[in-house]
Amino acid sequence: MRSLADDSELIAATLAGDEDAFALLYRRHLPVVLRWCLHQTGNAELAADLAAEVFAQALVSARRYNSEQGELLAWLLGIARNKLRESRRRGRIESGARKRLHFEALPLQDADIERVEELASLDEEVMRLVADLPEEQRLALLHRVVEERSYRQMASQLRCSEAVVRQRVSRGLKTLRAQVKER
Amino acid sequence: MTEHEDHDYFGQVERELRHAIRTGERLDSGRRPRFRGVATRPFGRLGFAFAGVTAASIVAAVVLFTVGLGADTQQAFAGWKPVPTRPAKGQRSAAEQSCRSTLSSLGQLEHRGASKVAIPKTHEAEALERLERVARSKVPPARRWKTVAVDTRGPYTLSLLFDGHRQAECFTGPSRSGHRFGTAGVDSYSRAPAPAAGEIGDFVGGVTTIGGAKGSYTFAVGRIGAGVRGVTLLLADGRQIVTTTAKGWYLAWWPGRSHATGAEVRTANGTRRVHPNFP
Repeated sequence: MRSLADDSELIAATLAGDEDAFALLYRRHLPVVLRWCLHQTGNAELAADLAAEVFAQALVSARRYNSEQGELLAWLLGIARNKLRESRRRGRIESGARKRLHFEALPLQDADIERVEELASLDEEVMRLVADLPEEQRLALLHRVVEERSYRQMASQLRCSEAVVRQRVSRGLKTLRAQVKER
Repeated sequence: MTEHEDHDYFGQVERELRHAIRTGERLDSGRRPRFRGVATRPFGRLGFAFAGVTAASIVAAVVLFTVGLGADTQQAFAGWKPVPTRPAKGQRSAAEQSCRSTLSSLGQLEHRGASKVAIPKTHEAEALERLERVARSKVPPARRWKTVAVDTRGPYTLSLLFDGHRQAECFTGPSRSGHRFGTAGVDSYSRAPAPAAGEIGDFVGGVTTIGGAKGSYTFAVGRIGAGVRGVTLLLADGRQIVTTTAKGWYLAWWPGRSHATGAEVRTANGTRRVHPNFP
């Protein structure tokens, strides 16, 4: 199943032209990258701008990533750090990678700013709890909460009915809530 | 990102990324260049001068490669060398003065207020102003900065400084117009543990431009573990850059935008090639 693929497999698929693979990486790591950007800049708009540049640069440089040398997330945060440094030097968020890929100018709206806070607040501790959930619940939660897929899409991907998917998400959330309360 | 992907920013970013993959253009090739032979036996002393036959052969190789960079880049950094050189008389002190002055001016801007900072009048102006403010508010007074390592290549000086919490790199040298230029970048100090003995790690760096695209240069600053006697960076365009190593750090810079694809790390046991994930 694609969502079980590790980062290096997804990078390899991306290099073979699989856009879904990179989209999955993007969704998988966006919360942490965004949280880092938000922490560093203290500003949701800048964080969103910077995070977009980080993923554009990661795509440009995807062939340079070597999984034997470290985690993809560490590499992404290294890119983020360099981009932020250059942004500070120039007094504006770096956009070299996005220009290179011919990204269109993307205006941020109020809802996007809220989304930054939302994504960035996906707490690491909660993510660790998610990792400990039974496989079916974990996948369902990741699909739904992190990757924001619709129940219909999830049902198709997980090869089960929408009702079953909803049940797995519900059970996963219930377990999580119970674990958080215990702490 | 499906229910509201028609208007949300992150959904749009994803679509742009997908589009870039579909078109398949402008992505780095990732091909590792073939490098010329490099000695793998232990060296007695390397030091910053990097004298000897090995150095001479590397210099020769690099000179051949740099010719391919084009006249503009060459002119922008005339006198640049792929190996550290001895500083000319007064070069280090002039660089240090320039660096402290630049860092100090960043601090002064903080006190004057961000409204004095020239920023583009676009819809992003407010956000950019905040960035300036955040960046500059983190710059401590220049007097606290201590120079850790200095890399000189011809008339150019790259310095690494710390204040205990932050690190800064200053770059100074003569511009094409004959005046001196000075730039400084400040970043939070990485608290990552030092690399293991004989290893390198924690690379930071990036492409910076002075006076337009023709003035692009790339710098690299990274940490070294105990026992590392020298680090040579291997660039995608085939150049080999001998770095300056000091006090647990290596640093170097080179004209152009070529990125490092690997490094040769020299210890008492010899030289080995590594390929860290240089971001």
